[in-house]
Amino acid sequence: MNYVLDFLYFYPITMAFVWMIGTFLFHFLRDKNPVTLPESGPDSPLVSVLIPCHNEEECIEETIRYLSLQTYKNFEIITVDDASTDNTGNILKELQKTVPNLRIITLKNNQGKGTGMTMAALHSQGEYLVCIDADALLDREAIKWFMWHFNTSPRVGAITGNPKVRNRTTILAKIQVGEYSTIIGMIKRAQRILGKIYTVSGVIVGFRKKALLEVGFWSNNMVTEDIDVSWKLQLDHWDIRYEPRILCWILVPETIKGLWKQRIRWSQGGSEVLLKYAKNMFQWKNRRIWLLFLEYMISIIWCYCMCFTAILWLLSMLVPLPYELTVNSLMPGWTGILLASVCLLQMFVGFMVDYRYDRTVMKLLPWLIWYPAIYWVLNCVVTIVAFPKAVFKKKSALAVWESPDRGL
Amino acid sequence: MTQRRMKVNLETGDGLIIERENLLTKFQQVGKFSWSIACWVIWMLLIRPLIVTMLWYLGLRTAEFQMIALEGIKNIEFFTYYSCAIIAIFFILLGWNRYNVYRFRGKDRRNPRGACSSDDLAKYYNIEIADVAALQNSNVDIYFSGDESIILETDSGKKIKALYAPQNLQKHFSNMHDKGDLQ
Repeated sequence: MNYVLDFLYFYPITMAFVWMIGTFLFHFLRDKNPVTLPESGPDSPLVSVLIPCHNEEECIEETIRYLSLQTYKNFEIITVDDASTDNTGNILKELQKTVPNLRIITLKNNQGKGTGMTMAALHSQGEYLVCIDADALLDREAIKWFMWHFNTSPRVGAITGNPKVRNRTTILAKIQVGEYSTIIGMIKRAQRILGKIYTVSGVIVGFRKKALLEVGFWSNNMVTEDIDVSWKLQLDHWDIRYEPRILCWILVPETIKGLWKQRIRWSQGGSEVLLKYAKNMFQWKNRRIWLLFLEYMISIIWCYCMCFTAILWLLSMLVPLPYELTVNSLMPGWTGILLASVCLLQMFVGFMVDYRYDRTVMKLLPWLIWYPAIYWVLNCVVTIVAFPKAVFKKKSALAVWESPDRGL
Repeated sequence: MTQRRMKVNLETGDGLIIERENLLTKFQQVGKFSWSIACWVIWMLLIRPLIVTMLWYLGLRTAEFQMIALEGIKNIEFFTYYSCAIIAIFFILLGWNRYNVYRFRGKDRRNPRGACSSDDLAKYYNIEIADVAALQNSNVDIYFSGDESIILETDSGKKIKALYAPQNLQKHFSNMHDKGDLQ
């Protein structure tokens, strides 16, 4: 039992250090390098901005109009109206009169984001695809940054950006601000140092169309098509990069129900990918992704160990258990100092590297001191519920749209 | 009728960050503060041994229980070993990064695969090249029949039947292979 408790306690702390060290190395080895962004002119390659949407009447106009601020001018916008039942279709038709580079693809049945994106890719004229969500406001330099990466190597298959949270009214939203800055951003920086990225952020990602064609575009039966396509590309030896300077402003769930649904979907999607590509891990040519696979698998084991330990702790309070199974307390003793320090340090490191992209984030620090620990507990609960869903899900079932919580 | 989302001002950027405290109920406001206070209290509980140690240095006897009776002093050894492990992780990650830079920077050992052409898309979806051009210059409605095909209808009323089998990608790839595309 002591070994299990040590694993439960030290695994998240060790991973926190891995992320912090990776972030530190990324910041000094990559982030600070000056680059020259490509100029945008009539001879610049055409970029297709793909926006899949389902019942997005509240957000879609703002998202499309915000694209007019892009400094890279040679782009087209392709929206995929996936069987919306609200006014999305009419708004898009109205917008087309004033936004000349907008085209509309309409799916007559709800097919899900994966199919929507695949259809948009077929209809796109550009070789470079920038895919954003219908509520995402793309920073004005974002497309230039995508093109800089694509121009550096012909084997860059995808680039993922740095989503920042717009809505910060509730404490749930404030906590997610910290999460995107300190956890998600740090994990991606560390994974970039390791060489493989677990997933692109589906809300803001650029793709090379040839790379997508070679892996069969997006799957239509995975609840998180972004995780699936990331693994498809990397198993086909395409590079996926993370660029923190590619910003986009997104809306996050501000209710517990909305957040829960989102996290269940993310966790289920991750588990589905783990199960789908497990057999590929036995091939030597995929050795560079083994660490990523192993880390995700250990995380799932950690979650179930945590659940098992919590159950034993509760039972220990009610009935006498054998010594080997007795858990007296879930609170650490002296090593609690390590946990408290790591929480602070992780928040500090995350904010320091991300501060330049969002200067308003520092005032949220008092709300976020505990977020790293909450992240592991939330992850644990969500994984325990979502993993069986992934295991027992019917493989051919379509992953269709459900309208997400876009905040207050 | 549903209200449109509050708009961001494209000139000034006002409205980009949305923080509308007036939308919170009294219960939510109280809950927000209570939650933060509770988190800080728990954090203080964890740091309690350190506070106790500081008090011990100031001569308070309660700390003696933590340091002697519970053998807290022996944990300095633990922190030493753990610090060594963290330093090792740092050098491993740095070494791996430098090794990759040495081995791969400026050298592309994988063959470039070129751009995706209309011909590629036509073969993948089993349609004509002229159809690809029509689709890429029009609004399109797409009908899904439930089998492995879709009907694409352009603005001009042209209907195109295409292969779409995302759960059986071999059909798409064998189509490309039959038409001599895959290397």
